Amino acid sequence: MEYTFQFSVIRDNWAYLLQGAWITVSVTAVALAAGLIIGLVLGMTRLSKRKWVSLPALCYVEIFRNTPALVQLMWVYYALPVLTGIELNAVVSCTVALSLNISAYLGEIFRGGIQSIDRGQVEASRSLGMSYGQTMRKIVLPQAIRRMIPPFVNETVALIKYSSLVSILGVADLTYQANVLSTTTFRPMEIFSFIAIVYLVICAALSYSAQRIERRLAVVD
Amino acid sequence: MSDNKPMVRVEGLSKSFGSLPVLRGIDMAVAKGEVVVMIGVSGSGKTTLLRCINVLETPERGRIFVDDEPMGVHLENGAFKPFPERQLNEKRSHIGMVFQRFNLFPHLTALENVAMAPTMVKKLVKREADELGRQLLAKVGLSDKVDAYPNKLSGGQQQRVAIARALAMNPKLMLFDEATSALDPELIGEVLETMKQLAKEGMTMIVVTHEMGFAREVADRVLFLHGGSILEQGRPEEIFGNPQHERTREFLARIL
Repeated sequence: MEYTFQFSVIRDNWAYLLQGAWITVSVTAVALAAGLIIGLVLGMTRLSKRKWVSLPALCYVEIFRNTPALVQLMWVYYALPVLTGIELNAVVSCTVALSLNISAYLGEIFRGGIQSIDRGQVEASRSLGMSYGQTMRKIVLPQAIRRMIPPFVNETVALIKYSSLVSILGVADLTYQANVLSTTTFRPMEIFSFIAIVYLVICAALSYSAQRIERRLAVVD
Repeated sequence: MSDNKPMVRVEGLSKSFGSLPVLRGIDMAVAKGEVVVMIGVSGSGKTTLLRCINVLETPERGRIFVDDEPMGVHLENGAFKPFPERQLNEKRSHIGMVFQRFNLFPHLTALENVAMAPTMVKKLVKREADELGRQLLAKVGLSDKVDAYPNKLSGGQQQRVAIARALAMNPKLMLFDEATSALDPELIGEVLETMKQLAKEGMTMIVVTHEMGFAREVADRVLFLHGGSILEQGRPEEIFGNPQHERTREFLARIL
C-alpha cells in the first residue's frame, strides 16, 4: 500500500464537479416533481373500485417496480424516439425514465397513506355534502401526507443515489463527471471518495430537513 | 309539535351485508319537527337504517324521501340506485349527521372543523364562515375552544364540536348515530343536553341511542328494531310503560 492521496485534484476541478452535482440535483428534482404528480394519480386510481381503472395502475406499478431501473432507462432512451417520433436528448429521456420509475414507488406510498386514514373521516366529510375531490384535497390528503413524509424521504434518497445510472447514457451528472475526471487525472480514489461524500451530504441534509418538517407537523396529531 | 308533512319517508327498505339481511322491508315516516329514537340490540339494523337515509349506506331495494325529494333513483323493479355524486352531495348538505366516534378532522381546529363545509359547499367567504362557526361553537358552549385542535378536547367537547359542524350547514334533519356511546359516563350529559336543546328548537331528529332516559324525556316516538324490522313503535310512555312485544320486553328488561 504505497498510495498517497492527492486531493488537489478536487480543488483543481471544483467547477467541473459542481456542474455534475447540479445536474444530479436538477434531474432528481424534476423526476421527483413529475413522479409525485403521476404517483398521486396512480395512488388514487389504484384505490378505485372499478377494475378497469385500478388494474392498469396496478400493472404500471408492478412493471416499474419489478424491472431494473437501468433497463428502464435504456428502454426509454431507445424506445421513446421510436414511439413518439421525437428525438430526445439523454437528459430528457433519463429524467422521463426516472420519473416513471419513482412514480411507481410514490404511487404505492400515496395509496397506503390514503388507505391509512380512518373511513369515518371520509364519511363525516361526505355527510356534510363535500364532494369526493374536496374530501381528498381538504380532509384525507392533508392527514395522509403527514404520514407519508418518512417513506417519501426514503424514496427521494434512493432516487438521488440511482440517478447516478444516467451517467451510463452520457448525462453529465456527478458520477459521469467523476468518471471522466478519473480517467484523465488517474485519481479515481480521491475523486470517488469525494463524490461519495457529496452524495452523502445531499441525502443527509434531505433526511434532516424532513425530520424537522415531520416534527413540526406532529404537534397536531 | 309536528305538522303532517313528513320530513323523512322510507318505504320497503331492504339491505344485506353479503348473505346477511340487515334491513327487511322497513317502512317509516318522520314528521317535520319530530324526534324519533330508534332502539334495539346491536345488529338489529338501526344504525344501517340511519345511514341509508343519507345514503352513506346504499340499500338494495326501497324508496327514500327527505323533504319529499328522493335520495336516489327508484327503479321499476323496486331496486334503489343512488343519485350521481353531485346530486347526492347537494342532498346530503341538508342532512346533518353525528357519529359515534365524532370523526372530527384532527388536522383542523374546532373553528376550522365547523367552518370547512360552509366554505367548501356553500361557498361562504372565510369571514362569514368563521362568524357562523363562532356562533355555533358558542351555542354548544365551546366559545373558549375555538382554536383548540380535537386532540386537546375531551370526548364530550369533541362531540359538541361535531354537532356544531353538522349544524353549520343549516340542516333540516339531524341524524345521531349512537352519539354518546363512545363517551365516558360523566361526559354523556353535556352532549345529551345539547341534543335536547336542538329538539326544543324544533329540529327534526332521528336518534339511535342506548340512553333510555333521553328517549323517554325527549322522543316524540320510539321505534324498537329487531332483526332488521320495526317490531314495535309508539310514544315513549307506551313503549317503556307497556311494551306489547315479547322481544321489546326482553330488551327493556336487559337495558333498564
